Order: sequence, then C-alpha cells, then structure tokens
Amino acid sequence: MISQVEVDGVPAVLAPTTGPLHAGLVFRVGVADEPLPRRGVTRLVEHLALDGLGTADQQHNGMTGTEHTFFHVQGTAEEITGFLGAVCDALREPDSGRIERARERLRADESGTDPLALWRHGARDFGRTGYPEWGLDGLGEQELRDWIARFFNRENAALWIAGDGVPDGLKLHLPSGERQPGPEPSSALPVTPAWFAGPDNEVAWDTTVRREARAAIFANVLERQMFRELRQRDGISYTVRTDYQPRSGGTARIVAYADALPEKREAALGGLADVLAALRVGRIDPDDVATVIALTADGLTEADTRGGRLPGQAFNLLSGRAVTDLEEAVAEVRAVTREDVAEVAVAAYEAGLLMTPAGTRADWAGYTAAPTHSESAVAGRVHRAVRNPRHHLVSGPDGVSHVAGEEATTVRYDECAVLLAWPDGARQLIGRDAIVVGVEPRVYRKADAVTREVDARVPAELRIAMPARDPDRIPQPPPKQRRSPMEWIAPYWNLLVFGSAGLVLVGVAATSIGFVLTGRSLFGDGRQTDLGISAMCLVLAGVLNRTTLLDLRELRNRWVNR
Amino acid sequence: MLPRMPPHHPVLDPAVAYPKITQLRSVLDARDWPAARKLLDTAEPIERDCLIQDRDESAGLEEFLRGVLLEDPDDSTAGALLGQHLIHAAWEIRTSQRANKVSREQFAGFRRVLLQAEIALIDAAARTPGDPAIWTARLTTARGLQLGLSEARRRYDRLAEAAPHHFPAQRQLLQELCPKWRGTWEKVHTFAREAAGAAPPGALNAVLIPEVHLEHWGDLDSHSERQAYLRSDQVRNEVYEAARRSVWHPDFRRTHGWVSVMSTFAAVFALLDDMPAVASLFTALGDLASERPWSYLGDPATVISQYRARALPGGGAA
Repeated sequence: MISQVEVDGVPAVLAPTTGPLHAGLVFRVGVADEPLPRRGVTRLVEHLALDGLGTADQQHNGMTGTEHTFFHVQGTAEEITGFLGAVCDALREPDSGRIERARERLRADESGTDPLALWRHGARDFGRTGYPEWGLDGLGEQELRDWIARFFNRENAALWIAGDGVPDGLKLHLPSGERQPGPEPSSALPVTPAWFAGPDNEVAWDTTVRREARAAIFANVLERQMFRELRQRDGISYTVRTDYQPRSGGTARIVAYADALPEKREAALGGLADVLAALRVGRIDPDDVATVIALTADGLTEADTRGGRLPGQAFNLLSGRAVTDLEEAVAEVRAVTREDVAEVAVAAYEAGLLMTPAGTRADWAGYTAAPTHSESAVAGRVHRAVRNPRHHLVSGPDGVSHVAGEEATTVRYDECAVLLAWPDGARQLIGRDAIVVGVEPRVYRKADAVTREVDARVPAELRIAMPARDPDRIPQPPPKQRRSPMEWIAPYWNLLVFGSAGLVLVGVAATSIGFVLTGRSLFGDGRQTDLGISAMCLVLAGVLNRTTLLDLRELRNRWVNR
Repeated sequence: MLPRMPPHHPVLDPAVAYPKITQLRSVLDARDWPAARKLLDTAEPIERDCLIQDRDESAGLEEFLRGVLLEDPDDSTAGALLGQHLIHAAWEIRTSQRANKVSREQFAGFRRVLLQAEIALIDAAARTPGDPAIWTARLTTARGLQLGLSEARRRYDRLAEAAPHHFPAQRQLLQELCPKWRGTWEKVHTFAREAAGAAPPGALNAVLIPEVHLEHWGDLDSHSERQAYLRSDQVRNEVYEAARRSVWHPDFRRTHGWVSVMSTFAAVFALLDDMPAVASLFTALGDLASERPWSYLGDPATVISQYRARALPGGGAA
C-alpha cells in the first residue's frame, strides 16, 4: 500500500519494502528542457551535486533522463538522510570550484544520442536527445545557478521512500520555486508512417501512442514477435529489444531496435517491416498476449515488494497524475485483451518512424521519406560554390539557404535553434525543424560576408564556440582541373582559326549571293556556280560554327568555375 | 513414298497446354469471384501459383480485385492475383529490354506500379503468411525494387517454411541469384543443386540445373567459351542427372509447368547436339512448346522448327 506524505514541502510516496531501505529525490527536468546551446546542463548539475559526496560504502547514483532527473540512494536511515541532505545542500549552494572537474568527467562519459528522436521532433523538446552536449564548454556558474533555480526547487521535486516511514532527521532544504510542466512533444514529420536512413547495420522504429497499460503490453508483444522473426527464425539479428517510455503529458513512446549482420541488413529491414505489418493487420498471437500479461503482472508484483514501483509514482506526483496501487495496476494489465493490443498496433503503425540501415530505403513498404530539405530558399544574395555549379548559398535578411540542384535547405533566423561557430569562419545553423545549413568559407565565393551576416543576426545566446578544426578536415572546393599548356590554349586557338575561317566563308557566300541578286557573277562562271559555291561555303561555315560554339561554351565554363 | 508433311508450327501459347488458364480468364472476365476461387482452390499449389501468374490484361481487373479485398481483406488469392496483375503492368512499362535501354520515365513508372504491387502483397503476406503464391510474387517485387539479396532470401525462406519445394518461387529466386541481378554464379549454382537435390524424384524442380547452365552459357562472351562451358564433363553430367531425376523419371507427371521443363531440357540437349534426346522430348511434347528458353537462341518458333527438322525424321511433324 502506497501512502502519500510531505517532507519539507516536497510531496512523497512511501511504501514498505522487503529488501533494503532506499529513497530517491526526483525533479521535473531533463534533456527535453535544455535549449541546444545549453545541452548538457542538467547532467552537469546532477554531477556537480553528486561528485562531492564520495563513494565510501554508499550505494547512490544520479540519472538525467528526458523529462526527469533523480538522485537515488540505498542504505541505512542515516545514510539516506545524509545523502539526500547533502544533495539538497549542493543544489542550494553549488560549489563553483568543482564545475571544471564535473565538466571533465562528463566529457569523458559522453551520453549517446538518439537519431529517431531528432528526426521525429526536430531540434526542440523531445528531439534534443538527438544532439551532443554542445552546451558543456560554455556553461558558467551563473547559467548553472539559473538552471538550478528554475528546475531544482521544492515545488518541482518529489520524493520516494521504500521503507516503513520517513527516516528520522530527513531534511530537504530546497529553495522555493515553481512546478515546471512537462514539454509538449512537437513533430518534424509532415506525414507518417515515415522513414529515414540511419547507421550501417541497425534497424529501429519508434512511435507515439496514448499512455496506457495496453500500449506497454503491445511493446512487449512486438519484442517477442521481433525476436522470433529476426533472431530465432532467420538469424538476421542478435540484439532485439523494445522499450516502452511513458511521458508525463499522457503519451508514451515505444522504441524497437534490432542490429543486423552486415550481409543481412536488407533482410533486417524487410523482417521488421513485415512484423509491423502483421501486427497492424491484427495477426497477434493470443499466447504472446497472455504470456506478456502474466509476465508484466508478475513483474509489477515483484517490483512492488522491493519498492520498485515507487519512482514511477513519484514521477506521477510531478505530472499531477494519480498514484496507483499495485492492485489497480495489475488489474489494468490483466484487463488487456488481444483486441486492445491490435488497436494499439494500428495507431502505433500509423504514427511510426522507421530508421533503415544506411543506403536502404523504406518507400517500398509504404513509408514516406522524412524531410531532408526545406520547402523553399530564402530571398537574398547568391554565393556560388567555387568550381561546383550545382551548389550555392543564399544569404538574406530572413535567414540562409543552401541550394543543391533543385533542393534547398533553409534556416530562418527566427527559427534557428543553435549556431555552431568555428574559429576558421565556418558556421552551422540548425533550425528548430533540425534542418542544417553550413557556411564553409573556402567552398563558397565571398562567404566571409555570409559569416558576418549570420553572426550579426543570430542572438548571442544561441551561439556555441566550437574548437578549431584540423586544417586537413576543413572542406575545400574541388581541385582545379589541371590542363597542359596545349589543352589550355586549344579553345583560344580554335576560336582564332576556325572562327575567322568561318567568318571568311560566310563573307564569301554573302558576297556571291549579293552578286547573283544584282545579276552579276563573282566567279565568272554563271549563277549556278555562284550559288553552288555559296551553299558549300555556308555548309562549311556551319560545321566550323559548331566547333566554335563548343569552344565558347568551354571558355564560359572556365570563367564560371574559375 | 511418304506423303509430304505440312510444315511444323509449334504451339507456344501456354493456354493450350493448360486449359485452366482459359477457364480462369473467362471467369475473371465474367467477374465471377466464387468460380475463380473454386478453380484456384482446387488446383495443386504449383498450378495455382502459375495460374495466378498468368498475364491477364483485361481492363478493370485491378478495380475488381481491390473490390474483392475490400469485402474480405484476408482473401490471399485476391491479394496474390492483384500483386501479379500489377507486377505485369509494371514490367509492361519497363519492357524486358536491358537496363541501359530503358528510359528514366519508364523506370519511374515501373517503380511506381511495382510499389503498388508490393504494398498490396505486404498486406496479403501479413494476413496470410502461409500462402506461397504471395511470396513468389514478393520475390519478383523484391528483385524489381532492388531490395537486396538477403531480403529476397528471407522471403524465399518464409515461403519454403510453408511449401519447401515450391518450383515457381525457386525460379524467381534463381533469377535474383544470377550475377545480372545481384548474385554470383557460385550462389546460383549452389541453390539450383540444393533445390533440385531436395525435391522428390520425378518433380519439376531438377530443371533448375539446366536453367542455370543456360543462364551461365548465355552470359559467356565468345562462341568457343560457350561451347566449352556446356560440353564440359561436369555440366553435361549434371544436366543428364537432372533429366533422370525429372523428365526421364517414371514419376514425372504432366503437371502445370511440364511443357517449359521439357522445353528447357530439349534446348540444352539441342545445344549439346544430343539429337536422340531432343527427339524423345519433342515427341513427348507433341506440338507444344514454351517460348523460354528457345527465345535465347532466336525466334522460338523458327528455332524449334529447325531443331525438330534435325532431330525428328520426316520433317518434324509429330
């Protein structure tokens, strides 16, 4: 039985446990809250709070998630009181002398990025888990204090305790603040189901559905089916898994992942697409559903005895959701039918996003390509790429575009999520829709003007200073075509010789025709000879004219691609 | 003196050899779905698949089949027919020319229609994964859409679970395994040997062996290389062994496909210059013949008539 109490103004859930005492303090803040220029700030705060606490005999850890960040400890009542008190002290009075060390540790322990989230949501809210912790280097003490004040406060915290009661002497001295609502998931996908090409030998899929027990059951039924089809049956994949991720706003994300042997990448894609299609049409094994329900109910019961359901209930406190008892949770799971799972499968399929192995596509399976370019380019000044007529940049008052052939990628200044700035003048703008425009000073003509305009128009708080690049890795225009002196001079020579010869021939023909028209004969042999010679001259001139045109075109290309 | 024989005209239309083709066309023309189902449901699996693959170009068939599926989405026969109908329509746009002679627009149209076929077949396979005709069609779409060798193999394995010696699908996979698509000679020979060896004696499957040898033969550059390839001991022995396992086996039955199987053996024996063997097969075939593989050697009717004249005494009328 879960009871609800309050500790120093922080709401708490409490339940007895058969195992060791443990407790956790959770805040409603995570990666989804971090603007890209501050990406990494929450984990830096988490480490700043924990790094000073030592590791002697205590079992504690911290975890920065997408929407929640928590500090967890297991031990005696005194150890719990000591740890949580120290975390609150560190958050109230962060030790600025330790920021640099915490930063170093985070750099060494990079968090992975989530490409599905990036492609689904863009460079905002839930898509931010798709980006590296770009903010780490630029975060100073004041930024950390501001972040803590906004998110790590009493009103934005919840506590869970697995034990018989609140340990004596537990004090949570947190500053007062405001509850921060969970971010709303946005979408960068105009059409679903959608696909994009990911890394080489992986296939993955995610979807968003309503947060409910039957969706969790579906996720596990999917895993069983994937395991059978991709691993047991065909030996295509070794690792196969799915994950059900409830969100505070009432939706849930389901992620499915399978690796693939390099020579079986296409089969991994085909196999996963067929599994999803089978579930969509309702081909769901009732035994799978029954097994998953039984395992889930057992898992809940087992977790409950250890206080394993408490973190989720503490999260519920933060999002204003009801705290549910084990009996309720188990009853909800047991009520799920095969038809329920089939209904979720349809919704999940429709909202799906498929990540195909590099070099493959999924349009054949009815998925639409996720956008890789913008609808249009901005209006502005054109900067052509050096020796590459297919590419140019456009720089205007509203933003910048990169145009390659028919396709443009555009970042408007009012939709810019982050600006990456390198010392060599290169810039990368990332729009909120995750579309990227790169400004490479050596690749485009007079690109330094674009760099200046971008720097002037993008607000300073969106800018991230990137470390200098290895000179060998700075993009360069394609190499100049090497010509021998003969090749170089050929078009000029041809123009001179054939061009003037052509002109002479046209002149002769014109004179001859002129003579005929006035009743005389240029060659003294009568009209027929004159007309015949004129015709021959014109035909020859026509032939010469063609080579002349080719030479002129060559010279024009040389000028354009100079 | 023998009377002068009339010139021989081989009958290449499969509908003559297999009357059910005409029956199916007419019930489909009449939009009589129960009759079409009855005809296909009572056919043997290979016969059923071949009937489904028959090119029926009658206008409005696509709408009719979509209507059937709307009423009963689980009708995999309608799904397979729709898939094959669209596959034919797609190849009609592409034409059977070599890739470098197909225009960009033709390729775009080919892909567009083939995608429609694949979408219909994904749905049918999801609902009825045990229907071999669906997977045979999906092997063709996998090849046309260039979904990769491992995906084609996965589809074949799915099919083989339900129908281990399904000859029409083996022919499709054999094409994919050829170097002209995405495979290698090693892979395709291995597959042909395995499939032929695993099939019951007297079955059609052993024809995969001469079929691959013909493909390999046709891929070689010079006449002398081709001759040397086909007449090597190994190839000869394999072809004769395959004939003993199929067309010359007492259990060989004239089931759907037998004409093209016998024609394939006849063509290879003709290239091997074994005229008694060619004669025995021509006699068994009567007037019947299939376009492939004779089309590899020129105009099928002309080539067949020429070889008949050589192999059969009296000008070749059967």
